[in-house]
Amino acid sequence: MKRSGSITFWVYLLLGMGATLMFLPVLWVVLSSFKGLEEIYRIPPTFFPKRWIFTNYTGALKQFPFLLYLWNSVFVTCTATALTLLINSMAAFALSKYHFPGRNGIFLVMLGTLMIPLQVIMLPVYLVIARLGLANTLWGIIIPPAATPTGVFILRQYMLTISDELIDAAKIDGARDFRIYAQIVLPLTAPALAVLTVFSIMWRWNDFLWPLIVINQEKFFTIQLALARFRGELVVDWHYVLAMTVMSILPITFVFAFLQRYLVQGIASTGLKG
Amino acid sequence: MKRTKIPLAPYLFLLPNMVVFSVFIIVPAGYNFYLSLFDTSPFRPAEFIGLGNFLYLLQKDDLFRRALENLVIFVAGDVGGMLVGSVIIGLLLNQKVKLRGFFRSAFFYPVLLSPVVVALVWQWILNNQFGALNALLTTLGMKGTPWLLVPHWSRFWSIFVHLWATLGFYSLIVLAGLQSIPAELYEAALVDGADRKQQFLYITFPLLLPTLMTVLVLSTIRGFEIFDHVYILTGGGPGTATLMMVQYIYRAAFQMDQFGLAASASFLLFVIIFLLTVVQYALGKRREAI
Repeated sequence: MKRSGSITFWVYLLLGMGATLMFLPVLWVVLSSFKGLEEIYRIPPTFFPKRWIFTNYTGALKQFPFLLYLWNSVFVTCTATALTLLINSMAAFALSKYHFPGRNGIFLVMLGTLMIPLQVIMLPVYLVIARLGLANTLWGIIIPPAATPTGVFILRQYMLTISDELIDAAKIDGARDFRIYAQIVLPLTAPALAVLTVFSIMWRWNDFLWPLIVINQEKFFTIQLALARFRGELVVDWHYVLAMTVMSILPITFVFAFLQRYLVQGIASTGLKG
Repeated sequence: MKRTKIPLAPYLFLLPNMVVFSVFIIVPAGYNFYLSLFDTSPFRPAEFIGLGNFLYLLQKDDLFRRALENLVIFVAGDVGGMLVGSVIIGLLLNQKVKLRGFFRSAFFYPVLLSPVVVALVWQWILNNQFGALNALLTTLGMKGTPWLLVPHWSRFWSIFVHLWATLGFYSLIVLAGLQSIPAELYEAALVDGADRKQQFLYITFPLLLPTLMTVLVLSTIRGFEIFDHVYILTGGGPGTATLMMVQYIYRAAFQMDQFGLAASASFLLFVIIFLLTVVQYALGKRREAI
């Protein structure tokens, strides 16, 4: 399509301004995390550090049990993602490859629970968690949100496209139900599993409300809880906060760089959010 | 497959998922309704009061009304900004420009950040004494403002920061909608001599409408559920200027021990989300029919 030069100019200008607005705040935080204390508070502020220092990072690691928070976050994210993939793919397998009484009913009830976000049941869920002895444990963060309707949904839709003839052939060869699930259906569902993995990692790593409710002991803090604690404090050690913020976004940026494709695909096809 | 025997395997495959679902979603949802019918003041045994909590919330509880007002203002601004912003960004990202991949990543990047990080980053920028925004304004010869200490500015930035963090997500949905419009339509329009404005009005906009409905309903539901971004950014303040419904529930449940009120407010929020979901479903049905 032919276009006049002036429109192209405006497109680039708007794209440039938008991208700047989106990137600049984070870039500024990253740069500031390498500045000395007096430079951070200097007015007017500097953009690039006058002198690059790393003491904010080493200091934050000394001052706070950051590695413990990091470990808690990594443990929760990895375990929860594995559990989410396992139980949701099993359910999706049952709902796509078997005919049995109650199939549609169960699927509808699952989708119906989309209308019940954690925000509207946080008190009773906490009471259940407490009764089960899971309050103030990492498992208390991991297990309850592991069964996700959207997870079952995208996996089921994908599994429906896998030919039943393949499964019938495997049955003739003597494969039992679990082997068909684990060795035939799961490998063929890999693209949908990848989408769910990326979303689960993003969601769990960034989650705040759920850990906030379950955990109130510092030794179980995730990175997000640790960072959130600085909110509203009268004297904030911004140099440490900046360093810890940067450390907290490194892993997720890394995941994004490699798995962006699955993330974009997941959003475009299902409107799903981490 | 044999019809006579009910297979056991699918139930076993479903079991783990169903247990988690039941114990952590369905049972609590029922329990929430049960709790909402009781007066659960501390130091007294719970007393059944029927719909008393609901009446109290709707008629006497000033903080609840405040939270509801704040929420409506927030959702109106947020959803309005989301619709306009996601269409503009979607259209821009759909242009054939150089560095398209870079621009898409740039607009999407904030979606990856946690609400906590987003709020801390902006708290740092909006800081009254050494924040970048006030420094910029001072350099330009204007006066800085204690942004998060003035009620209407605090509201504005709550909406702005949430938009900043989530626009990339909705823009991607709009972009997918734009890309699903068949190119032949534009070619035909070009042959008929339609200019860009006409193309947008008679092709792009009508065909994008279902996508925009999705953005509208989805962002409205998420708007009503808002908590993290605003809570970390403003703490609900100054005063109660940005205290949203989920923060009201959190406060009642975990800070004030008002279990009955927390459960009732939760139920009212659920009703709002339920109605919106019904609307979304109805719209989806209609779209399938077309």
